[in-house]
Amino acid sequence: MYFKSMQRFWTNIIGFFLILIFIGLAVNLGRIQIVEHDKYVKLAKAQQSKKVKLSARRGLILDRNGRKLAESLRVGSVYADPSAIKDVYEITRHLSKVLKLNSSKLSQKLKKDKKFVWIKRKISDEELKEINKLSLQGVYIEYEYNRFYQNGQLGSHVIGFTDIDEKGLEGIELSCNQVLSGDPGYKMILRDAQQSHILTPDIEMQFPQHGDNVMLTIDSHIQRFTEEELDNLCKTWLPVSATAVVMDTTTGEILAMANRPAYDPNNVKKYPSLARKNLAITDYYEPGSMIKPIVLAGVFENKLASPDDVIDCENGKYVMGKRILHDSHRYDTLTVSEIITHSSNIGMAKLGMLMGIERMYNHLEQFNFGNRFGIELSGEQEGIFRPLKSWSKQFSLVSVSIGHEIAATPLQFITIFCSIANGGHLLKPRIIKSIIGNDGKVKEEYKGPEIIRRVMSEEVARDLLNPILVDAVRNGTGKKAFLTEYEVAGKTGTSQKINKADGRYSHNKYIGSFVAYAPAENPRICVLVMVDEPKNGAYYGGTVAAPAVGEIIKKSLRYLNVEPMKLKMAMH
Amino acid sequence: MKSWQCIVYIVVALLGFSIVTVYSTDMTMFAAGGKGYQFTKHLVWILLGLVVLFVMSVIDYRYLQKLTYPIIAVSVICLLLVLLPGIGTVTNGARRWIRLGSIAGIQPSEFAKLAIIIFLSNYIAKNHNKMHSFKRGFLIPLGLITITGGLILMEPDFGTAAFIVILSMLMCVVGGMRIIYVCFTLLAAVPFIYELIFHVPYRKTRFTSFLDPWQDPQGTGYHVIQSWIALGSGGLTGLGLGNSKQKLFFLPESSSDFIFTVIGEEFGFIGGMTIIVLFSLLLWQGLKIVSRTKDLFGFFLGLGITMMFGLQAIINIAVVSGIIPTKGIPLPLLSTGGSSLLFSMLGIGILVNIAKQSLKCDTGKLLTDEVKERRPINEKFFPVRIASRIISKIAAFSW
Repeated sequence: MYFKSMQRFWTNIIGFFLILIFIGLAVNLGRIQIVEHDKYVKLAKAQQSKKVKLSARRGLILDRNGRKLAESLRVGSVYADPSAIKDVYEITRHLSKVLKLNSSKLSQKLKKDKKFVWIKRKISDEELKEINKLSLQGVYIEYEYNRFYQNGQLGSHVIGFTDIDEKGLEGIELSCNQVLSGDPGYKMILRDAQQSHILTPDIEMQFPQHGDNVMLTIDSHIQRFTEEELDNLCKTWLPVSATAVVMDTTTGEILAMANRPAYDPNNVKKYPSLARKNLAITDYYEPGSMIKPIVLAGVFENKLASPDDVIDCENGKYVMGKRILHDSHRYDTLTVSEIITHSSNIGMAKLGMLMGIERMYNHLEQFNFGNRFGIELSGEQEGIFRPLKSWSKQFSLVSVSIGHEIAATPLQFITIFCSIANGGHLLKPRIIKSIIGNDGKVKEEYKGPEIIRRVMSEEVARDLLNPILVDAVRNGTGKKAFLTEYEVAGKTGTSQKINKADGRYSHNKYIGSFVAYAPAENPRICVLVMVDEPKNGAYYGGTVAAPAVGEIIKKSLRYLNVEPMKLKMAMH
Repeated sequence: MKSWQCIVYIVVALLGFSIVTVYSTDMTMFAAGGKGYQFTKHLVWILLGLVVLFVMSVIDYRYLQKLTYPIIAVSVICLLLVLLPGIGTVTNGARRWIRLGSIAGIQPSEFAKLAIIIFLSNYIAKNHNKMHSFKRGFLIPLGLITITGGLILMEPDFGTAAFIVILSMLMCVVGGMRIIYVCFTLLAAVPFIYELIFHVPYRKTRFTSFLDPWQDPQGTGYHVIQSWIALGSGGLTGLGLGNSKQKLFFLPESSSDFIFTVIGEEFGFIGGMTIIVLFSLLLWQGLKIVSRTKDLFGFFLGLGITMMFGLQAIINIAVVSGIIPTKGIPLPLLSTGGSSLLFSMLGIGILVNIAKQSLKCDTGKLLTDEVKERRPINEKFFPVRIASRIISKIAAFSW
């Protein structure tokens, strides 16, 4: 029985231990699979799937007629997974040839110990085709949106631009970034350990919410007329910079806003930072003589003088204590309206003094000097309007009357001047007409003019100031803006620039400007042109800025189908 | 149902699991050698294995006893050949394969497992009465074990070498080798094992990562953690057939060493338990056959083969569930790999034959032969006798 018992002994003992071990394995398996199930499911999900951003399409920027000013198009971007690349040399050779990249930099990128590196973003369609044809290992294409500005330089300061990730950096792109950008969605992609994506149908995903479209008040035709005129002006007078704004006098909507130098938003990096500044809102200037009609409105409003009153103009030289005022042309006496027509500083100073400091301050304060209008563009400046207590008793009143010691941005000034054109209302300037959802429905619309306040009576604006401003163009300093088909009413301005070095007025650097509205009997548009440091021997606003204003008004009114004067007369 | 029939059914069930799981891992987009390549290869090996199983179950196992010396000689020669650079092919830094043509290959170490079992069975059966002596019962078997183990270690294949040493030692102990010698051998081997583990960098990292895999989840702890994630995300019922996500290159060797993990992920705890239960049944039936053998050679051969299956299954499952450090031991009958499958089937064939032979024999006649040499092996060593009483009581109960 020895063999039998040995058999039984050993099979039993081995069987017993095997069963013990198998029970142990089963218990351990149960611990992993059932007790710690949730923990491992989480870990598995984290490594097996990848959250992929679905970028939202940025909304359009449209002009008031629905023409696209800025648009986002799908383009390919090339990236690589260096860990999946085996032959760096071969890939570098192909990529640098197709994408025209520096091969040593590229191979360095590809040797990095990373799973993701951009090779080149936003490539052209031809390059995309080539890359797809090559189908290199470890080189992939991701589709993103790229911002295109099909009109190039046109309206660039208003529209602004974005960075490579489509984040707005300037202009409307910046101020309406929230509206335009929308909300990106995502999807979960199953992947394997080698990062190749495996698509399965039942994937968790959220569609992106595309951005809304912004419709501007800008009219691209008027914008083009304006920019053409600025270009002509710059060719002739070679200024440091020039700015023009066109405003609808009845609604406060900005129809055009342009600056020179300008830039192409498709290729921002090529331009200096000065070119990217929207000077119409970021820079302020002393208005000079352009303020005279505004001051005069206060004089008329308080019934301190009437247009036909005669003022002694001291023959061009007026001594006030330490200060001596000069006129560019000598006048013995002028009527109040002639003071504007010929832009007499002495006459204006005397009219200003009739107002007194306090009344002058209150009058100008109504026009919002020194405050932002809150236009929907970034970087708006408030200008300079000193508080009453820091006005000097002796000189400030005179200085302000002829447009010194006060400064306004071109936008501020055209808005203020518009109040004369529309019969006494100060309107809030507008650049956005409506927000349109990406389904085409209008989400928000800014209807009608928003009146800030009445700044002068209709009588003062229509009956007293309007004829004076018409006369200034017909017979006065603004002759060069005279048009045969439309009656233009405007005022020139010429101010000395302040020397940055010593804070004194410069004797050879001027800002020539002209602001006008037309047609005078029923104003439709108001145009301001400001020329900073014109050269070639002229600097008067009437010489450098008025012709451009005339041309802009002529082209714009024709475009707007406003009946010319002669035709009307013939019909009568 | 007879035990050998049981065993054949269990083997067929395990092969069925294997086919389904290998199909699932191979039908991914990035399977090595193209979609379905591994699977077709596996099917061919299974068919070949079934033929071998049938052939071996027909041939009388006692015939093998006569072939002992040729078999062990061929095995040692193969182990030597594989070390020669022209013949052995290098995969993953080890020379473990003798290539036959471009597709098929033989792992001599798989053959060596069976060869050493046959050799030891023969040796113990012939020298059973002298197994407690130092020379016959210890030095000679140990010498052979050391030669075979050493050759496999030179490939290098630490896992298989260690497996063969453990298996042989167990057989020797059952055969009557003194436990005290085994203990001293183990004590003497400790410095060598230490040297082998801690002076070979990849084994050392395997060992340290086993202690705390989360220390370096992307590096040395990667395999264990990926296996845990696969098993854990399987849960109770699994992700469903073909839905394993970890097989997509997260799991290394998903169709060979880590096939149990994929089963656990796709079929859940239920699937994993099915495999464990199937193996337990296989071992139970194996031991049942062994306990009914009528000669010593048959007893040791059957026991050796059964323990070979049991130990491999235990080691593999323990490795993939992170209980012991990673070793390249396949799960018998389930993992892909031609040699392993072929020699496993060969072993099953022998086991089936042993079962059939013992059924044929007249039991009464054999018993009277045994009475003459009745001499309980554990009469001198008292604690073993006590332990065996207790254990056999419990085991008998559990049977």
